[in-house]
Amino acid sequence: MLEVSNLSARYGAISALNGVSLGVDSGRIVSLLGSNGAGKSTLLGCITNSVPCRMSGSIRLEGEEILGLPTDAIISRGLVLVPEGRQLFAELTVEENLRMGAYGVDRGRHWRADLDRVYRLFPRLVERRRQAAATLSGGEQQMVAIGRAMMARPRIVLLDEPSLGLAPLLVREIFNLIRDINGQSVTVLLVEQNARQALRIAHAAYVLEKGHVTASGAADELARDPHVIEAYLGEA
Amino acid sequence: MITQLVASGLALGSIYALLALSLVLIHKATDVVNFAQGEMAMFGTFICFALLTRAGLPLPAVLLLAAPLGVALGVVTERATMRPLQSAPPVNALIATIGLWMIFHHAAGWIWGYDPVRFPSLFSPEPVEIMGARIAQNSLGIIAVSLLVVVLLYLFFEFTRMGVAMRAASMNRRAAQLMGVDVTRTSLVAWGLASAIGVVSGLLIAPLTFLDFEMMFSVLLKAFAGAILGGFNSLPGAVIGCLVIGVLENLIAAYVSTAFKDTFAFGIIILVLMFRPQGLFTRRIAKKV
Ligand SMILES: Nc1ncnc2c1ncn2[C@@H]1O[C@H](COP(=O)(O)OP(=O)(O)O)[C@@H](O)[C@H]1O
Ligand SMILES: [Mg+2]
Repeated sequence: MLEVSNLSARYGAISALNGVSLGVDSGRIVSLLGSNGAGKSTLLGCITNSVPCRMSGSIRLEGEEILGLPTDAIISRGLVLVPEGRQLFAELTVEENLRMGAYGVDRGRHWRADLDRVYRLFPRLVERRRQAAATLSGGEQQMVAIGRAMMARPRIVLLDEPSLGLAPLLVREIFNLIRDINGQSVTVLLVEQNARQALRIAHAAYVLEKGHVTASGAADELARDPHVIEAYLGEA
Repeated sequence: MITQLVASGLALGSIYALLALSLVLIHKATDVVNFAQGEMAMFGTFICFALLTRAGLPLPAVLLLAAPLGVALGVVTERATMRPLQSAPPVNALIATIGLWMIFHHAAGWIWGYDPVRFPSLFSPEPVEIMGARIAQNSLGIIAVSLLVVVLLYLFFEFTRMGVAMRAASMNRRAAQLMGVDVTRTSLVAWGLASAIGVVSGLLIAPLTFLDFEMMFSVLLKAFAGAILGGFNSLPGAVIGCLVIGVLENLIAAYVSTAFKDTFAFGIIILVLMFRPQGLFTRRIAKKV
């Protein structure tokens, strides 16, 4: 479904990605692991053309080249990013945030039906619908961020560290939700530092280090890889 | 006496408010403070004057053309000067607007001369009686036009697709972009709108002060003071702030001294920035997002 080949990206003189190649098959959850500064967010930013990077290489969405297309054109092809740090519209209510998610597709014509779908996915947001996004807890904010992306009826969603800063119980909940979303035939590319959880729900995974892909394979295989265990899974 | 002072103060204030709306609009959309806003308004007003006197168009036609003309001026300026700087830090763009100030200022003097000229008044100077007070029709007309602009702006931001996109982009530009908002377009629209509103303010002030390439300086200063009173990021705050400034200006001139008419605005800017930088009317909301 999504095919990145030989992608390089630089911020001015700083090189952030060096010939990265990865593929995400339709219907899958693919995890991208890597420590801080590895270039994970940059990769997602390049795919959505929403970072100030100079790019070269190729990004294909269902066979079509999308590298360099404007962000709104990419969204209307069914690819949506849930950015790192949630990036909600702080002063807007939960429901207004969700409505904004439908902005780029179909001129938002189906937003009512889509809103119901999102509320079914995140029942906890229903009682919060009239509350300003800034007043929610971290977990609820992450739900709004994911729900907002779902409003665009994506066929593939990119998630950038959705578990960042959440309590362990919530982390589990968010990962289960990602699996539910995948169950609704939405393909997922999941960037995470929480490798254990990410590998638990993923089919396949890649490891990114300093702008290079250094390992890839089926999720259960990578979970047994000594290097991955040492660098990302720790002892516990 | 006091009613008249307040009424004409509100009229003055609503002219400042229009220019303040322009400043805040661009600031919210692009994080740039457009120091050239007043000069662009003056330049646009001069073009209207040229259409009136040289091209011989009737006054109503010129007034109808003013807004589209302002939009064109803003759009061209944004494309030519802001677009090339869009990935540079905002301070670069801010300095560029100071350059624009110089350019519009001297271009106007060079093209249309350095002497003030009379601009035809848009409203009758005859006073009307309202609740026992005699109020100049001029004041009422200015307030009505400004009110119309404010209402149109409100409708735009609440009910149009572009307006919603602009509000979202002003809160979080990256997020808006990721929702499919074309953020280069929101910047362009902000400049177009701001410039059009600025030209309206120029047209309202020119009959009061004579048309002159220096005429917007004190208006810009008051607009800044009013916008800062309102926290600089709130459109309603800027309007209220400017109305306060307009009334204060009249009262100070009448009861204290006309010498403080312009300098008090500086005083307000400094005091507010020192003691209440978020403005008088906005609560500071704790931002978790
Ligand atoms: N806007 C930017 N300007 C310049 N350098 C950046 C920018 N964003 C990220 N970088 C650099 O690119 C590299 C990769 O960053 P990032 O993609 O955010 O990593 P990750 O998401 O894996 O933590 C880092 O060295 C970071 O400093
Ligand atoms: Mg990151």
